[in-house]
Amino acid sequence: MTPTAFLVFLLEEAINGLMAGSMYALIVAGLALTVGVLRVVNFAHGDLFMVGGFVFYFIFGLLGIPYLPAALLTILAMVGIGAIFERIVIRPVVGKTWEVQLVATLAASTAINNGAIWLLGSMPKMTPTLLSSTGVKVFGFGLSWQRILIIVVTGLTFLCLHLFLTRTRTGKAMRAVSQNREAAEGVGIDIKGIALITFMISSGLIGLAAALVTPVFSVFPSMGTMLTLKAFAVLTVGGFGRVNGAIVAAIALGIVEALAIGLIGSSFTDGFAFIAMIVALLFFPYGIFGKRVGI
Amino acid sequence: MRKWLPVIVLIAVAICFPLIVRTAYFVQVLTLAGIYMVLALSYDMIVGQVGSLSLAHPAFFGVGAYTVALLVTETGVGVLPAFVAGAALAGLIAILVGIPSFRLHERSFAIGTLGLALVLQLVANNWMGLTNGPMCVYAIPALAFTLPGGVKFTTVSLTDAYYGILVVALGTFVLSFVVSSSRVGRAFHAIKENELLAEAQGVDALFYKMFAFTLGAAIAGVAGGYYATWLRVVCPALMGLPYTITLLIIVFIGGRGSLRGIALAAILCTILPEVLRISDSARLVIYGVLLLVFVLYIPGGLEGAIEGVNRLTTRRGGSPH
Amino acid sequence: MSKTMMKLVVAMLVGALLATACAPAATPVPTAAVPPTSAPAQPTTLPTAAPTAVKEPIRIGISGIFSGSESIQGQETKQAATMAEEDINAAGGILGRPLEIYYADNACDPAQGATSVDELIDVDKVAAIIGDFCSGVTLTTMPIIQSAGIVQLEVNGTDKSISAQSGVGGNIWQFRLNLDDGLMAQYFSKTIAQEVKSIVIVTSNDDYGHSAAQAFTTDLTQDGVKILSTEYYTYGQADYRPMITKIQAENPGGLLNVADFPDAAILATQMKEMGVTNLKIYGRGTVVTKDFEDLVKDPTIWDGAKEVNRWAPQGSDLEKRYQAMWGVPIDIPAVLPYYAIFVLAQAITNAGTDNRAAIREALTKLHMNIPDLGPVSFDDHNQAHTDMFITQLQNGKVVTLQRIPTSQ
Repeated sequence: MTPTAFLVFLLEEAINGLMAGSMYALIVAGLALTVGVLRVVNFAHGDLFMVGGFVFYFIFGLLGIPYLPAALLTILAMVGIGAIFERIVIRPVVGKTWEVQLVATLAASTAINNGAIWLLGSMPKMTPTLLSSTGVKVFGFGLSWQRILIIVVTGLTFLCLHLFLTRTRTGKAMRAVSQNREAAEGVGIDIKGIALITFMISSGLIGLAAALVTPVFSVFPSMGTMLTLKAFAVLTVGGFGRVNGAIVAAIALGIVEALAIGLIGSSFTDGFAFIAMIVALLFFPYGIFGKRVGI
Repeated sequence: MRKWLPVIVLIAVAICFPLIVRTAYFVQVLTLAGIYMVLALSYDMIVGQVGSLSLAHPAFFGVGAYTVALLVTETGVGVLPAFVAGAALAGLIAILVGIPSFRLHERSFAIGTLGLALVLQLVANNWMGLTNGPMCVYAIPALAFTLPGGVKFTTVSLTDAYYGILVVALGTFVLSFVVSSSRVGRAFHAIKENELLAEAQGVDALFYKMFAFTLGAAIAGVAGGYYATWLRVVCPALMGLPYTITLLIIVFIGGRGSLRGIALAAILCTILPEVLRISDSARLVIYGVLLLVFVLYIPGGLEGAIEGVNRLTTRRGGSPH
Repeated sequence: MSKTMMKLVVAMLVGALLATACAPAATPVPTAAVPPTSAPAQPTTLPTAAPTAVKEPIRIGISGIFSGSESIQGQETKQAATMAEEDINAAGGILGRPLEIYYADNACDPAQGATSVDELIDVDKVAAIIGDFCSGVTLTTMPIIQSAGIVQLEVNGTDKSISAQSGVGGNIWQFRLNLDDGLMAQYFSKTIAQEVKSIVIVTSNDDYGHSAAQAFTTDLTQDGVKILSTEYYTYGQADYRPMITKIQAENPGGLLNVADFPDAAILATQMKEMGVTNLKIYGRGTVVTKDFEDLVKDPTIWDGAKEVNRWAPQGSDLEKRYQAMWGVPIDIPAVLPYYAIFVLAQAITNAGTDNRAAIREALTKLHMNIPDLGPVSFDDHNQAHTDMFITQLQNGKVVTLQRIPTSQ
C-alpha cells in the first residue's frame, strides 16, 4: 500500500472507531450515572439495552409505527422499565457491599437474558430504517444517514446531559449525592427520589441508544453480556462513576478496537478492550482521570 | 461430637452411593458435582475467606486442564506428573497476576481478573498450534494407576472416577478447614473484616492475599486436570463466563466463608439443573431468579439457613454441645 | 427482612419450581396446524401395521443445543423432530409401535453433553441417539456411547476427527449423516477458482469456523487462489465496519463467508452501507437461504452469491408443511434431524427389533434413498455420502445450480 493510501486507511478506521465509540459512549453514560450516583454496579446494564432493542423492534418492526414516534415510545418504555427494575433489583442492594450488588445484578442479568431466549427464541431481528438503508459516500468511504444521525444525536444528548447536570437543581442534586451521600442527605436532598430519577435517566439513555443503534445492527437475547463487560472495562479506565471520563474512554475504546482490527486482525476483537484496560490499569490504578469522586 | 455426626453420615452415604445406585447417569452427575465442589472450595478461599472478588478462577481451572491434556497427549509425560505441572503452572500464573492486581482498587481487581480470564480464553481459542483452538484437545488418556495392594484405578470406570473425585473433594475440604482454623485463616478473616486495621496490627495483607489466591489457583488447577482425564476432551469454553457465574452462584448460595454451606451448594447447583431438565430454557431463568432471591433475602446463604435450623433445634436454656 | 416476606418468597420459589416441573417444555405454538392433506412424503414406505392396543413405544433420544445462545439450532431441531414423530406415528409407527422422542440439552458443553447422553441411555432408556450437534460434545460422548453399546448418529458436527475415529478400527457405534465439510470445500474451491484470483475469508471464531477456514485455505491455495487474509468474527458481533474497511483496502476478487444467516445478514448489510459491493460472494453455512433474505429484506444485497451445502430447498412437500406448521422456512438445522429420525426408523424396521446392537448392525447395512438429500449408506468410517448442492441467490430467491453426488 502506498503511504497516502495507508494514511487514508488509518483515517477511515479511526472514523469507524469514532462511530463505534460514540455508540459505546451513549450506552456507557447511563451506567456511569448509576455507578456514580447510586454507587451500584449494575451487571444487567447490557441486558437492559437488549430489552430496549427488542422494545424498539416490537414498536417499529412489528407494529409498524414510524421511526421518530417509535424512538420516543422506546425511550418512554425504557424509562418505565427502568423504574420497575430499580425498585425490584437495585433498591434492595443500594448500600450493600458491592460484591452483593454484582451477584444480584448478575442474577438479574441471567434471568433477563435467558428469559428473552425462552420467550422470544434466539433468532436475531433486524430493523432497517430509511436512514439506515441510504447513505452518502465520502471519497469512497460509505456511511448511512443513520450513522450520521447517531453521531449528531449523541453529541446533542451529551450536551443536554452536561447542561442538566450543571444547570438544573435536580442535576446538581445528583452530583451532590454522588460526591457525598451523607452530606447531601444532611441538607435535605431526597436520596431515594434522586436514585430513582438517576436510574430512570440511565434507562432513558439506554432506550435512546437502542432506538438509534438497532437499525444498523440487529438485536438478539445474548447481546447484553459482552456489552456489559466492555462497559465496565470502559468505566474502569475512565474512572468509576465519572460521566465525562466514561465518554472519553468509550470513544477511545472504539478507536482502539477499530485500529487494532484494521492493523492486526480480528480474532482478538473482544480481547482488545480488556488488554487495553489491563494496560491502562497498570499505569493508572484509579483510572486515567484519577481518584476524584463524583460524576 | 454431635456436630460431626451429620458430616460423617453424609460421607458414609457418599461412599456407598455408587454401590446402591447403579445408574451411570447419577454417578456422572455426582462426579461433576465433586469437581464443582473442589472448584468452589478453592474459589471460596479468595472470595470468602480473604474477601477479594476474583473473577479469574475458571482461568486457573482451564490452565490445569490444558496443561494435563497437552502434556499427556503431546509429550510422553505421565498423567500424575502432569497434574503436578498443571497445579504448579496455575499457581505461578496466580502469583504473576496477583502481585500487580492486588495493588488495584477492589472493583478494578474484579474487572482486571475478569479481563485476564477472557484474554486467556481467547488465547486458548486462537493459539491453534498449541491448543487446537475451538477444535478442542481430545483423546486424552484416563488417569490410571495401581494403588498399593494391587487395586487398579482408572477414570475410565465411572465408579472409579467418582471415588477419585470424592477423595480429592474430601481432601480439599479438609485442607480448607485446616487453613481456615489456623493462624493463616485468622489472618484471612482479619483482612476481610478490615484490611487497614489488620495491617496496623502487623498482618501483611499482600502476602496473605497472595497466599489465598495462589493456593486457590493451584487447587483449581488440580480440579482442571481431573476434569481433563475424566471427560477426556478439553475445549476453550471451560474458561468462559458461564463457569464464573456458576462458581459465584455456588459461593453466594453456600455462604461466603462457610465450607459446609459451599460444599452443599456445589452439590445442589449441579443436581438442580439436571432436575430442571424438564424445561430446558426456563431452567436458566429459574436459576437467575433463585440466585437473586438468595442474594437479596438470604444474605447468609445456606450457611445462614443451617445456622437457623441449628438454633431452632438446640434446646432453649440448654448448653449447646 | 420480615418473616412473612421470607415465607412469601419461599412459597413463590416452590411455586415456580412446581410450575416448571409440571408445565410442558416451552415449544413454539404452530401458527396453523395443518394436517397433511395427503400421506406425508416419506423416503421409503414403512410397513404399516393396523393400529392395535397401546404397545411399548420405540424411543429415540436427541442430545441437542436447547439452551444458551445457540439454542436457535435446538429450536429448529425440536420443531423438525416433532414433525417427524407425528409423521411416523400417523403412518402407524415403527414396527407397529409408537415412536417417542426424548430430548436432552447439552448446551454445546462437553460436561453437560456427557450427562445429557447418560440421561438418555440410563434414565430414558432410548434405543438410539441423535446428537450431539457440537463436535466437541460428540467427541466427548463417543467413549460413553461405545461402552454403553448404543448408536449415536451425528447430524451437524463437522469435525474430521469424528469420522476418523468411527467405524473400522475405531468406535463402531458412532455414525455421521451430515456430509463431510472437507469434501464440500474441495469441490467448491474449484468453483471459486474459476471465478476469482484472490479472496478474503470471513469466518466464525469457533471450531466450525476454524476448521472450515483451514480446509478452504488448503484447497483454494492448491487451486491457485490467493488468500489475502482470514478474518474472524464472534457470533452476534454487531460492528463489521473496521473489518470491511480492511477488506476494501485489500481489494480481493471475492469473499468467502463461513457463517450462519444472522451474522451473514449483518455483514452483508454493512458491506452495502459502505459501498463495498464489487466482490464475488461465496458462502459456507446458511448464507444462501430464505432465512437470510427474510432478515436482509433487500434482494440486491449479495445478489448472485453462491454456496455449497448438504441440502437446498426444492419445493418439496416437507418444506411446505414445515412452513405451514411453524411459520418459518425449513433449513438445514431442521432438515437433517428430520431425516435422521427416518434413517433410524428404517434401520429399526430392517432389524425387526429395537435392540441397540441390532440397530447398529442394520445401520451398517442400510441402503436408503432420501429424495431431498440423496442416497444414504454408511462407508467403513460410518460416514454417509449424500449429495452436494451448489446454490445461488438470484433476485431474492434461492436457486439450485448443481446437484452433485458424492458417493462413488
